[in-house]
Amino acid sequence: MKAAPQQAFPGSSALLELTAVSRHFSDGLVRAVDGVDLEIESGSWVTITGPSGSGKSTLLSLISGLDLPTSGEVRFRGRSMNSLREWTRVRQACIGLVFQAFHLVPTLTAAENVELPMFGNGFKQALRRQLAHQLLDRVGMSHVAQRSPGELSGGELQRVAIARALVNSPHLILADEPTGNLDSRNSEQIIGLLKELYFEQDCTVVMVTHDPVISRWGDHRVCMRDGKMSAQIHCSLDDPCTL
Amino acid sequence: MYFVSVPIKNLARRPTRTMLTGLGVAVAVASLIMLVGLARGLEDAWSQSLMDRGVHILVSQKGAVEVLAGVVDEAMAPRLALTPGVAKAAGELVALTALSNGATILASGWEPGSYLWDSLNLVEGRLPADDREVVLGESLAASTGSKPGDTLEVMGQNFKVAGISRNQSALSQGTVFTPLRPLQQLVGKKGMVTFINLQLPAGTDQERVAALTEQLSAAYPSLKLLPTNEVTRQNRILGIFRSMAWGTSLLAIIISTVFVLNTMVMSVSERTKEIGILTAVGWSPTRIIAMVLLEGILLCLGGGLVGVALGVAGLDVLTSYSELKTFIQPRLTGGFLLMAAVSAVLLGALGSLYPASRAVRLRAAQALKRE
Ligand SMILES: Nc1ncnc2c1ncn2[C@@H]1O[C@H](COP(=O)(O)OP(=O)(O)OP(=O)(O)O)[C@@H](O)[C@H]1O
Ligand SMILES: [Mg+2]
Repeated sequence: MKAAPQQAFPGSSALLELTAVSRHFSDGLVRAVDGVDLEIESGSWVTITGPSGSGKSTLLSLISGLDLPTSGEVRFRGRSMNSLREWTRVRQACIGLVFQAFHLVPTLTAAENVELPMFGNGFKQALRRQLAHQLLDRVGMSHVAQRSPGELSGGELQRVAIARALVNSPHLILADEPTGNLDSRNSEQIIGLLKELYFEQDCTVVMVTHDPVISRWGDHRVCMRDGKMSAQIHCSLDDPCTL
Repeated sequence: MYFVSVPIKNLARRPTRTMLTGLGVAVAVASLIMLVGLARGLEDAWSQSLMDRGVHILVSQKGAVEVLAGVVDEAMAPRLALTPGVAKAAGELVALTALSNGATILASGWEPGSYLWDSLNLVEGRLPADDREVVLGESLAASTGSKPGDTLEVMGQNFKVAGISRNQSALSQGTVFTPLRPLQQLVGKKGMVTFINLQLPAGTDQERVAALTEQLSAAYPSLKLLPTNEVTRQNRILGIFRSMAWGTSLLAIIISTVFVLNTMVMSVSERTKEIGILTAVGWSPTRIIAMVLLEGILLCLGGGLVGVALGVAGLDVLTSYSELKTFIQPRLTGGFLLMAAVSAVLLGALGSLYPASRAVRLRAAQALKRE
């Protein structure tokens, strides 16, 4: 499939390891994620599927450090992640996030949104600008660089968001239903773009999707049901597996 | 994009709210400058008028609430003049009076031949030749349209204008200088003066002034002696005015801090989701707090600069065109204006500290779900 990427921690190829991870809400009444064990290898493409409310988004926020588990352990490159601050540093350096609702800052232009993740890099303003334009160019959006999100279509917004997720050359891209708000033509293009970038940038992708066609592609498919992992299916990128 | 662009764009998002809050800060800063500027101007007018006259020590009645309200026997002047270390002593009677045109002025009565007359800087005419003649401060002459040879009515009595004097202090500029006797008669204080001005030999240092003040205070227990630089500081009326000026300004600043706090709490809470986005793209809590603080500081710095301009202009109008003109020596130092601007910045930081801490309290996963 892909050449095995360089190991940050020799001896373990797992980028992410989840051990008995749970996230409960409302004093345990809602078990959004309930005892999930999962290992995600460096360089793999993993899709997460499951019915609405099964805990996919919650799981994704636990492996991106936007939230901490109620119990269990999340390890990123072998390191146990216990604090939000630590997660923020890791996210800044090596995780790119893409959301269904795009989540661009409305007061900033497309290019400025793409610059945001670079503020922690210590880059000069001119370099930030240049890199943002390069990335926008890569996703075919250089013509909307100076426009504000309110003036863009859904497909354009998601491309800008992908540029923002990729600008720091992340090792891990996490996408929560990136095509959920797009029509089928735009969906195909966005997934096509993500695939291209996946091969180009040598990164790991974890994507939540409802789309059966999209979920067929990848190394692994994880199915969620009622907060639990109901199945983990190995597939082949070349040979789309079927359920 | 620079970091500072982010808070600037946030402020630009709600221009009306930003302007109104900035205006509140501007008013607070302007009132600080005007009130404290007035208090200082009042003190300066006093000290400058004493300096104009070459006074080192002011001798007044002990226990009088206000120097101007006390009386001292005029016979004390020649006695004090005999003290070793004192060069000259001259009694002065001061009265506040209204002219027929309604303007409030000061009348100063001086002994003919007293050294005080030498302190006048005549630009027209001459010194009084008898008890019926007076010298006018330049701005008083201008406001009454008087020239040497004209007649001016003071407390119901007509005096002839002998000369016009230009002095440093605004107080002297608005004063009518009369011979002592007729003024004593007019105010019913025969044989009395308001205070006695002591001049020491040229080159006397501050230490010597202080030592002499102490020595004379011990020798004359019924008198209050103050070095010139202490006169305004020790004056109770000026002190009350100064405290009121600071108190009122402080209140205005506290109120506008609450304004800023309110604005920033709103600004942060309506942007909960955006702050979640910034966290998601790897902005640290420190960076987010810096963004919110910077927003508050920029807001208040803008308001503060407008306030400095308003305050300077307002003080100028008050001291140039109003009744206060005679009693205020307008003096705004760069240091004081800088302090006013810095207090606006501190106000901004103070008002956004709590909103900033609120901004990073929510986990990003929750923040992103907000609308
Ligand atoms: N902050 C919260 N407080 C309480 N309950 C929550 C919270 N967040 C999520 N939940 C609950 O946890 C469960 C899982 O939510 P989650 O958003 O992870 O589902 P999902 O699989 O992403 O669903 P969808 O496909 O509709 O996006 C749901 O029942 C949801 O109501
Ligand atoms: Mg979801």
